[in-house]
Amino acid sequence: MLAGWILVLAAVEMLSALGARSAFVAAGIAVEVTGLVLVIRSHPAPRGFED
Amino acid sequence: MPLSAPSLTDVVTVLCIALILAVPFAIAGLCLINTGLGRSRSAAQMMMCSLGVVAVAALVYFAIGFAWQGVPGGPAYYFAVGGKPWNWIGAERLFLRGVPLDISSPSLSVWLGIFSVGLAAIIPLGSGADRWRMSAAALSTILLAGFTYPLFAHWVWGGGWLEQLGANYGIGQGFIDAGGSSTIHCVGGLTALSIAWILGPRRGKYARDGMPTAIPGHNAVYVTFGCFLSLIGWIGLNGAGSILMAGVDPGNVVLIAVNTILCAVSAGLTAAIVTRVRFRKPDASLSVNGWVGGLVASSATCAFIRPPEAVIVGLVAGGLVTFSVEWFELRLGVDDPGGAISAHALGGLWGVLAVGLLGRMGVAGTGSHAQLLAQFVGIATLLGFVLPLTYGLNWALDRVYRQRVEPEGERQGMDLHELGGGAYPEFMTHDEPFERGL
Repeated sequence: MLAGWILVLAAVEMLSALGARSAFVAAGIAVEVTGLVLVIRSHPAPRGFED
Repeated sequence: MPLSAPSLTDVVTVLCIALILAVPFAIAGLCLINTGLGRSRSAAQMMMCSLGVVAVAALVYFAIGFAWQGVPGGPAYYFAVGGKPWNWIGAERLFLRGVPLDISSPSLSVWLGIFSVGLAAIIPLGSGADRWRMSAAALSTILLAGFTYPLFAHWVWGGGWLEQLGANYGIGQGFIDAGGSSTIHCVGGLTALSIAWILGPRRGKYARDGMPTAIPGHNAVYVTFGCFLSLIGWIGLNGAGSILMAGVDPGNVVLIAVNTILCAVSAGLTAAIVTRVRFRKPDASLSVNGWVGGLVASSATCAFIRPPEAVIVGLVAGGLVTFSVEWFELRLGVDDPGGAISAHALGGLWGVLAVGLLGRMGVAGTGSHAQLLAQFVGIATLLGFVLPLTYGLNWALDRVYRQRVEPEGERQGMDLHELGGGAYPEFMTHDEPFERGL
């Protein structure tokens, strides 16, 4: 997720054309969403508690 | 270095004071909603916890929070990349030294900020209901009010790099959020998600096969009354935030109030209709979540859209929140008793996005595409930086100080375990039906 954000920052800093910036920002958000999915999967599905 | 900000006329000052005075109603409303959606045996603890986190948030914000949030044009730390300044954190003096605390714009911003950080701190209580220790919630609030909130609020409201995207990089007018959809609600909602993950679900919420059990809120009257209180508070929050934080013309205050109301009612009604169609009867809990989601989405957009667009924002927010509550519970296994993640995090993200899609900034030369891009950069920052930050901070806290109550405490109820008495001492206590057979 952090990598996606850095990609977005790099797009803001290094690109000037609106189209290219938009494409890289979209790519960065896609990386973030992938990271989010991985985080979600890393949390085990809850089961009933044993008392 | 003295604080600098535009001076306000007397009329605008009185208007801002009146609006700020309404904001605690939003806090009170959320407290009632969180309490009503939790169990009866945790009601007193939830209200006490709410008071506690608001108090901790205010003190921490007074001590260090405002110093790091700062105001536009005030002292701040920068680093330069490619010859352009990246303003990343405020550098005001600690303990509000240097703030005149009169009726100037920075002083009113401090006042609004104290309420705003309290509101943000209340949000995670909804997702941690019935199992979050009061002391742990207070410690988590120190992290929120002392670091996470001020840092992001500086970026958006304090002249930080997100606000300056327009001036420095020509991306629209920079990231725009008039009333705090991102700074207050997304930050609070993403913290709520982190807390729900770290704490795990309530005892009895999921059966052995992983299927969730319905644990209805204990008081629908609190919950619905909380909605009305929140509406008053949100009008104040959106109005004061728009004028003080986003520099919106105070003459738009009626537009802001009308848009706030339309967003809330259309979102609440959408949620009621969706649940009526899906479950044959309108669901009070989800309708309230929809209402709050509409309020949250209104915060970013309220000053930049017309009333018909406010209805659209509310319609989308109501539908989004309704489905996402179920998605989090069924698909992701996240137990969020108060619906805080859906209403505040997703509602806030939608509000921020809606500014780019529907907002009319009224500045020549800034196309909607560029503004949409600025809003996406803000969304990317919330997901890619704020969520890992708040999760990491709370995970580290949990490693040194366990945040979840002991199993015995959860079985007894948080009221008895943490306060020694219940919210309703004259009521008979029944066995908890949700835990049988688990």
